[in-house]
Amino acid sequence: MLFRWTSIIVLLLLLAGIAVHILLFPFSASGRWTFWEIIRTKIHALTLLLLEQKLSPLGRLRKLVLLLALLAFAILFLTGFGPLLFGSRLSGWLLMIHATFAPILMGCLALLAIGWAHEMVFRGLEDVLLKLYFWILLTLSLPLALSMIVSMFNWFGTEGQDFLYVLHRWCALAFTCLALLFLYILVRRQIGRENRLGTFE
Amino acid sequence: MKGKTQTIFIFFLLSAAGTVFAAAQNELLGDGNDANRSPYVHWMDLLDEQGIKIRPQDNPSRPFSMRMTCGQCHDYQTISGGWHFPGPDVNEPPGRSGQPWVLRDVKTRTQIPVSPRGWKGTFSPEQLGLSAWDYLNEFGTHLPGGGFGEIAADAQRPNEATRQEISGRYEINCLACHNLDNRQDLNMAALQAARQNYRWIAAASSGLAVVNGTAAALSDFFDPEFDEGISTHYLEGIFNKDGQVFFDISRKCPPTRCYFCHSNQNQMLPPEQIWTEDEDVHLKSGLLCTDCHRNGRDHRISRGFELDDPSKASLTCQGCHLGPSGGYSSDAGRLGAPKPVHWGIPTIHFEKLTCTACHSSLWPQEEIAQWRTARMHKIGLHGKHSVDLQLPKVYGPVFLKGEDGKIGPYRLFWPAYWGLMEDQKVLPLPPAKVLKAAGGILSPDAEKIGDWRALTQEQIATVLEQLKPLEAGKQPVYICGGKLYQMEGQTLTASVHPAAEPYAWPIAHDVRPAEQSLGVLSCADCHSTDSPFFFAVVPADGPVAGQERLASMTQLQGLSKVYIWAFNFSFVFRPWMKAVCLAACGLIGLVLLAYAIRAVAVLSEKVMEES
Repeated sequence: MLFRWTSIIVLLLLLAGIAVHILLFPFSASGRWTFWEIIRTKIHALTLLLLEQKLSPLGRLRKLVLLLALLAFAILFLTGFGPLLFGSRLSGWLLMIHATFAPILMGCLALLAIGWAHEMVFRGLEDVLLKLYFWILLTLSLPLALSMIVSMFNWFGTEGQDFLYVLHRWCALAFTCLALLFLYILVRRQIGRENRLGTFE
Repeated sequence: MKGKTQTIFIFFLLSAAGTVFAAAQNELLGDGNDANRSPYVHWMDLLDEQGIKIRPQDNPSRPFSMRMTCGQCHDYQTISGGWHFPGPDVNEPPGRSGQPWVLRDVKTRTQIPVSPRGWKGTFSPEQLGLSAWDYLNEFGTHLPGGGFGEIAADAQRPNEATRQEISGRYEINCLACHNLDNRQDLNMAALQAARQNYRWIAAASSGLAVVNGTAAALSDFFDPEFDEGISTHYLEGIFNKDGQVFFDISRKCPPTRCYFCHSNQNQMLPPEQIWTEDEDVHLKSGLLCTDCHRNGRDHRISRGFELDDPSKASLTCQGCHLGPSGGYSSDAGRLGAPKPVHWGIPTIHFEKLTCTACHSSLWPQEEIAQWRTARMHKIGLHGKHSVDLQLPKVYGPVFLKGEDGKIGPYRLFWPAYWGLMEDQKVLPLPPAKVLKAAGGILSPDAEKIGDWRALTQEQIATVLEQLKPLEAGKQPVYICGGKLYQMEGQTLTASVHPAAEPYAWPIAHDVRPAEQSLGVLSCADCHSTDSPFFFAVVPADGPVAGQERLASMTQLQGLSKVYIWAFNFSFVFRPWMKAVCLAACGLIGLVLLAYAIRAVAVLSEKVMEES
């Protein structure tokens, strides 16, 4: 019950916070909110999902891994937190879907860690938050995944299983919040960068 | 004012003292408990049913009465409210379903679950038109007396009153459980019950007396004053000089006594291999049935199911092994019960399964075992009155969802009876009534022992037509093999109907040790695409040829077969999932480690530069 309400409140606050931040600090090309700017920005954000022509094969792979990770994250988020909204627990078909996409997300995270780590090294004060979230996300992914994987071995009894389950849930909540923040900052940075370079114009 | 207060105070004191005195008056010598664990040695006066002391020189000798003999020191009235002695006027909540009695009739192909407890799926004796006398004659061989055995015959049935006068009442046979004398003979008690010698059961089975004669064979005009009827001879030397008799009484009943009514025979095991069977692990560890199935003076024995009586929650599997709160509390490990660790078992299993699902009865097999039970099939009767009943065919372990929402092992059988349906509710017709209406239609063509006598669809249709005039507005039906047969116009139809569902009751014993519990080998013990736990099928047997039905375990559990199959199939990929996730975690860990080392190096450089 505690976890359910904490999750709902935290996720709502986070989404509301992001919405307020968007309103207060618009990231459109002109820096203002007009009808056309909103449409343009949304279309712009969607184009970030596309593979750019200029990317090298490895760059394309990196982008594909990111997109796959996003898909897996979305599915895990919906299947994991969806049942909580209705007061039930993850089971049945949803559990199977959840367990199917979990290793995909972990595989993608591992590849992203290798591909992005160099870029995410702290150099001065540039993108500090983004980088910080990146490293925390990677760190959190370990207890998040291991708490479930380890529970599948005969290493823990009932008390240990209970602990691992609780650990998985709280890690998932923290991971979700940070991942949403990370993605928000990433999208803002990307749009801002392209606006500055005029690539989108 | 002061005087008035004093008067009230004195009145209050006197009232309180009066209440205590009255309570003490109701408590008999044997009802108290001074906490001395040394048992009372029972040298007893034997009293007959009139309360008259029996002496060795009495001629003729009379059988002793348990109500009078034990009732000298014990509150018989309170004891008679115990679970083992139910009568027709049970106003108690039914509690968890248990094994019913079965009213069977070979000619009408009838097997109806009967219980006075009101368990869902059973019918009360009253619903079936069974009087207390009928009930006693039908099931008396495995009854410990009391309840129906002590009800005065219905005045509307003078014949029964006459027979009861001759046979006497079947009082609670306290000795059946509490007499440790090895001569205590429950087979003899059953024989006396079969002879309708109810008044003599306690004496004859105690090993202290020899009873000759058969009440059932005596004429309705039998007069004990003049006619030679049933004789009682007490063994020589059992009376001391004061005319008292020694009973080796124990509060705790030995398991061998419980077994007389609570034994089950696995028919998949050839009789010559019965010695290979193991007993319940608790008994082998030195416990007695009564260590867990305890009771107070009221004899409402703990049934081992917390929902039945929360006050006895500590006498359940969880109560002993984990403590009533189930959280590894200090009250866990009662009587030395090992605290289970359940290595690698996800906790969801404890929400979805009973303890017995993994730990009790047989390891699930593709072919569900068939059983005979002491009470249903009257096993345990030896000698001339032994019977070899095979019906009803009882199947188990069948894994079903119980009243608590958890899946556990059950035994079940498929009811079969003729009945009348109104508003989709079916009430059975007494076999005698069916037979009377059906005439010779149901007469078997050939004797068949140990199985159903076949019934054709034409026979069913004809009998249903014959039953139509019994009650206007009610539809005659026949239920068997999980189907309901009825006439729709001139056509006989068979359909699945709630009234035709099997009657199932949970089983807890024999408990297997942890090393033999489900899941001990791997998850695939249950989670495989062909595991008997989910995919074994239960035959829905009945007398109608060509109508055999198979009910799958998932169907009986109310689960989707496709979902369970898919879920179990996903376990094939589990090792891959573990490998992918562990490899991913390893890579992420390496990246983190590499950059952490790099960060430390940078930090060190900075410190060096600064200094």
